[in-house]
Amino acid sequence: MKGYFAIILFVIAVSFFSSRIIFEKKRGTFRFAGVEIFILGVILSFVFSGQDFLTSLWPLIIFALAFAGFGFGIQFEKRILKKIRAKSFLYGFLTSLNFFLFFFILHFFYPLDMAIPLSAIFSIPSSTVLFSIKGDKRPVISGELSIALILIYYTVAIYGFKGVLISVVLGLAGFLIILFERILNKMEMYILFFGFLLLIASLSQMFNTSIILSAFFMGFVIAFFSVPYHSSTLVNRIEQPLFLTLLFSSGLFFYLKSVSIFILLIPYTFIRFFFVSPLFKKKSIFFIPIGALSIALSIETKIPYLITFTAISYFILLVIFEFIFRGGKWHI
Amino acid sequence: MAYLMLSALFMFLLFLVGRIALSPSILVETVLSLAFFIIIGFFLGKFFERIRFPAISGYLIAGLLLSPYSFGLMNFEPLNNLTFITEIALVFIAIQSGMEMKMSFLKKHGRDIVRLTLSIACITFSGVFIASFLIFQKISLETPLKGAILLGVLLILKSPLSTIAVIKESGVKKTELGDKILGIAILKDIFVILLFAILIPILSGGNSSAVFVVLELVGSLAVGLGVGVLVALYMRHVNVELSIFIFILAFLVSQLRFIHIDPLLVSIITGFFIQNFTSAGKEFQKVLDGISPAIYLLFFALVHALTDIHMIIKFLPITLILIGVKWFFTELGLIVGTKDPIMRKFGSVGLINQSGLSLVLVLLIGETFPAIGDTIKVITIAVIIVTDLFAPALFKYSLVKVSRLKKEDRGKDSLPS
Repeated sequence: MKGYFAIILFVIAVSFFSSRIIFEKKRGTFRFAGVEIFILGVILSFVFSGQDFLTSLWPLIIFALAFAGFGFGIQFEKRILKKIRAKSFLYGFLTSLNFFLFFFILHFFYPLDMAIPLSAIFSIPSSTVLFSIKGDKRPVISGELSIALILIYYTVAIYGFKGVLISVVLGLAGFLIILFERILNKMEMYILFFGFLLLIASLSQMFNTSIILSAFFMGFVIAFFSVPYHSSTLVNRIEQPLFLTLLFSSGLFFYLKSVSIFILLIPYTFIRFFFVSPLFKKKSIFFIPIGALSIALSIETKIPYLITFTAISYFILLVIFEFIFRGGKWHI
Repeated sequence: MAYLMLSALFMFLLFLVGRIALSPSILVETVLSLAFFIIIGFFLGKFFERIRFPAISGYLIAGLLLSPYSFGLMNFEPLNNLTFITEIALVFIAIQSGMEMKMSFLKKHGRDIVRLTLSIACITFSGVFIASFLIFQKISLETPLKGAILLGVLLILKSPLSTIAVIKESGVKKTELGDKILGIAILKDIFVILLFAILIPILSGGNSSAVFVVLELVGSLAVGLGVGVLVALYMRHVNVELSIFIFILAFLVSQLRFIHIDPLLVSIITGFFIQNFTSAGKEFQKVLDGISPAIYLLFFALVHALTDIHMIIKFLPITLILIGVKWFFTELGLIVGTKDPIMRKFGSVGLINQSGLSLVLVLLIGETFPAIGDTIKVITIAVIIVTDLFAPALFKYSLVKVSRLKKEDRGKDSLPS
């Protein structure tokens, strides 16, 4: 276990230190943010072939997955939900359609355990990119709502309704966090928060449900029923390093043959754009990149084929987005 | 009371999970155990804080409750997987002890404190050594002489961290009693770490030549200084993600034992160097203070979880005798070492509770002397538990009383004759 911990510490160090360089250097642009870490993971996947390296990282990965779900859930503050309009639900409906359409097409070519996550991955927009929209925030809210819906569809399809129910019950732990947010100091709150996140992640694994969805519900409960003080500062503090941890893990799962399904990106871009453009017109291009949450989702499946595809698609679509958005001017 | 109920609730949850969950992989079970340690330890720590006991007592009780020996709520394997945390905690505790040694403080009280520390340490060691040797012979412990020496040295220790905590909690500003007790506690830590660095190779009978021991000591001192310089350079030129940097450093230092460098000595020198010879002391201390609650929680809970509670109960009479002996000889040490009536009257209550550092050393003993390690570990933990139950409260009372007496004295002096 000491060896495992050394590896975990190494990955944490790489993630934290590189996040300083990567995100501070590339502030304002999304293109290739974190690709270095992904490539490092790919290189190490050749050096440390076999499952041992990945097994050793699993505790960190499940924490990162839980954190990804939590970080998303905590965005659902009451003031944001109050801005939901009929259009948001319409977009939610269209995203659902997007999910089912993809699933319908993909299930002819892939087994269910691949087709379902792939459809979900193809339907999750990037909330980070959406948040960069200036002015009217309706597309952001629509995007957030659709991600939540897709997470639920995915969990129902893979783990059944029982899975969603368990995730909801585990998410209720958020009420305990609310109870202590005002009483405890920042450091104490962090300790408790880490404990709860680890608890939710491990219990989700034990009761066979999605770690991301359970943590999402916990974040949602906190955001909806209180004003998160310490939790949101913690999210801001370690969000980027943990995202890099996920990218690094994606690199470790690298599977060369998955390159063959990149052809799917062409219909994906068109379908996504087609569904969104009547609603958000020019802002529709913000919906093209797939979300970082998709990377988390793909890792949760543990299917290397899918993980590699998602990570590389993530970068490609960010580049396409930046190219269109910035009118073809490359920002280096 | 709410904290206590929450602890009970989560223990019940752990019990339920054990009954109804699918059998998980060992890694998931390890993460689950870690989560329960953090949550239950945290709530019990808060509960103990509320009833004006150190939070450490709560972590310790959490460990005992979650131990596979007590209610069987957890399995041994995930706990064994987590023991590496204790090695890292060792480094943290030692660095913090080193950082408590401020030159200004040593210059002011140095001579008094050194004299007192030496007299208390020597007299307490003699008393505990004789008592434990007789006890170990009576219970037919393998190598009673080694056991008595090691336990004698261990029971010299007194916790600087709990001393600081009690002084802060008492609300009494700067008293000579508090300052001196803290100084003695810190010096005792250094004294015992040095003694252990010398004793372990000699008693283990390995490469025990004097030259080897000296080399190990000098090597540890040099590495300690080197690590201190490294930290200072990092803080001056990089100074980002300091907590991650400290974690990596602590992990690396904890592994130095494999090249015959003493991690404890290295850490204490590092702490001392950073505090007194660099400008980074305050910032480093701040980061350390931020991380340490989580580290202490896990450390104290984990070590106690791997302790057989039945053995503690079995050894309780011996423990009580040894605490009595330690107390008596500490009083004797105070009488010999000082003429200050306040130190003589109140000093022993401040010096009786056992340091967390002894747990770290106990683990070291367990690894080096497996035949006697368990017995010494159980006795030491029992001493910590029992002394933590009453000593901090008594020390706090003494500090308040001394402060009141001083005020009364000043009041009498200012009255017109």
